[in-house]
Amino acid sequence: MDIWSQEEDPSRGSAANKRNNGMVKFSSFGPVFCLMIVWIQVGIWGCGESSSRRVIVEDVWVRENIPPQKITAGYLVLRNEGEMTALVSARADVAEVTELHVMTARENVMQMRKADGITIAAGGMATLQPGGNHLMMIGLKRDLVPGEVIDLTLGFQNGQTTTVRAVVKKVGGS
Amino acid sequence: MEDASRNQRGLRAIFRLETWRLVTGLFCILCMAFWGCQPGQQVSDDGRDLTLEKEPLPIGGDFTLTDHNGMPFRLVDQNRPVLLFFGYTTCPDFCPQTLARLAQVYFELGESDLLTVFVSVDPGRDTPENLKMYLSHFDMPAVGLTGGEAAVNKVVEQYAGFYERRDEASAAGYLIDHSLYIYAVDRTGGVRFLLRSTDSVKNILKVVRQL
Repeated sequence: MDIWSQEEDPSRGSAANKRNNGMVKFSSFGPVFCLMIVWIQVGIWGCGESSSRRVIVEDVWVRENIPPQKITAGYLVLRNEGEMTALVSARADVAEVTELHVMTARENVMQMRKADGITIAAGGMATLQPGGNHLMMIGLKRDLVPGEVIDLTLGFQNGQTTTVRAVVKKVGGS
Repeated sequence: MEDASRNQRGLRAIFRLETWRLVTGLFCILCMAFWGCQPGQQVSDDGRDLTLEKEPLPIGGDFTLTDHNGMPFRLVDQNRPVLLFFGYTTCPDFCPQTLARLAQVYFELGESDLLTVFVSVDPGRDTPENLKMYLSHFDMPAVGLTGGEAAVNKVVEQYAGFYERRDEASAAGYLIDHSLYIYAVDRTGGVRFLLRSTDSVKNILKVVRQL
């Protein structure tokens, strides 16, 4: 069980917020206390794995592919709580290859390039979103259906490796 | 006695206030009505004028390519308003996003004979069959066009578009840089407005409704 992937799952994310509210109110202390123990315990496991793990991955999603194309794009938000680093690799079991692509729209021309890394400043953020930088997933082994959840493993320059769960969304989602 | 006159004064004050409110309210409504009635003024989210050009722009015009059923497609034969743009089906981000946005435009528009024309700038990989399957994913009347490289290049040039194949190392094979305009074409085949790739559904609707 990976704390990071838990945090990034949007459905669980909202549950975590509720949990935090509960802690403030002390309205139902029993279950909240149990949750706190679990929370702390999981946190300790997280730290145990790697103390240099300082990039938090949020809002991960992948667009459904449009047949017959076996390619699609993935998006996420990277929040760096440590020193400057970069996202340098991405891997998904459902795709042959996952590349980092940077996109620029200059004078109404879209330019997409494969990149070796996407830098995230110390204490900064990097957003991969439609119309901008994205993960390009090439050679999908099957069609991705909206609503399903797939695993993405991200590698960072600082050695951090994080596996996150990405929800597949319908084209036009954001 | 004093109380009664005070009440009366109070009532009069309220009455005056209500009249004042009524007058300002009516004034506001009249202003809005007048503003809305100004002929042809269409303004985008970011304040750009979205009014169609009175005459077709000097770019664009008629052409013939092959449609996704393998049949010849001639623009002027359509006799219906068209939204035209350049793209390719291996494009993972911009093209599906734009098509999804246009599908939303159709949803908002309701009954309409507007036609979406997706001109492939990847004649090497986009066969009519591929285009047909790809476009069927979007709930709207869209035609995919392809042709020989020379024929496609001619149309791109005619529409002052741009595309360039980038044979850089990517597992996707080559990538294509391409222009992002969406051309709003009237029934006679004249380009009457250039929409931007970033234009919202609302902006596109404002333009389309004038075609």
